[in-house]
Amino acid sequence: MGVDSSVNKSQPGTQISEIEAYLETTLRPVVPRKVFIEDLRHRLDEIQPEPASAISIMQLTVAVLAVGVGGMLLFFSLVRIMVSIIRTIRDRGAIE
Amino acid sequence: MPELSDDDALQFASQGDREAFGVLYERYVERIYSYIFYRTGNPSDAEDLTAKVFIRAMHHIVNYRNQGLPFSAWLYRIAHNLVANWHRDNSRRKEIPLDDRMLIYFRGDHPETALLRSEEMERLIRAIRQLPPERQQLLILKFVEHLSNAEIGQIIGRTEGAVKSLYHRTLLAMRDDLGVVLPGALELDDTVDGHLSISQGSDEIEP
Repeated sequence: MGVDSSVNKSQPGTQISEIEAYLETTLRPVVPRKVFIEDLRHRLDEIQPEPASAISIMQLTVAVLAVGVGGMLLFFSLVRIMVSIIRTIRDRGAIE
Repeated sequence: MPELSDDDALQFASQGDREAFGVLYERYVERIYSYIFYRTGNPSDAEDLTAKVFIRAMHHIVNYRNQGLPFSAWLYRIAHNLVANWHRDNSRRKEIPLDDRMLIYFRGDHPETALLRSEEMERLIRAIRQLPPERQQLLILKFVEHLSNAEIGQIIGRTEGAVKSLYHRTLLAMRDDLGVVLPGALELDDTVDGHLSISQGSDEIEP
């Protein structure tokens, strides 16, 4: 392998362009095996795309259920807290 | 069919037209493979991840929403995410040295020349893979895929100016990584159509 030791670190502009040229000449597209391309093509032919509507309806249903259940739990918790506060106040009033 | 534009092929493919998806597949499979190969440095993982990219694209093609991004950018983003997951999953596993598992040949090379080129390429891939993922992505898209800064910006979600700035900083980092040792003796112009072929082992040199 050839080594170009003449690159001068005191000339950063030159070095950048040399790095750029080096990358341009060294980095090349890599070709996959033809058998891989053909096999994958056959595999793709057997795949069914997922229906768009089914996914969104399912997600929507889960979201609505989650919000509904969460909302009901929150509502009943608030009611219980309110009832317990009212009872406490009433009990204190009765004692006094 | 092959003369279809990406947008038209995409429209047909999103309606379940397999032939249209096939056109997109033929158009992009080598580019996606090439991109993933440089990110993983391993032909078998590159094949595995390339298959995953297109299988995922096939599954979700009906959900593809054209938001001004080209189809290629969508594919590269899928590839980028899968490569990121691959790196995360393999982070605990000790990396196998490149020399032990692959040789890269330029088509038409004499075996000895091919070996030299292979060593040079492996050294460069190692240097690239030392960089942060976004910079690796930038170099591959720029030098392997020959995309413009604007196109790269669409893929990595940055402005053209930000890409330009990142590119300059990446070259500075590469200069420091590669140091003053720049191989200059190997002339690469005698390769067949400027492409590399990959071989696992030493018995698959292309004529």
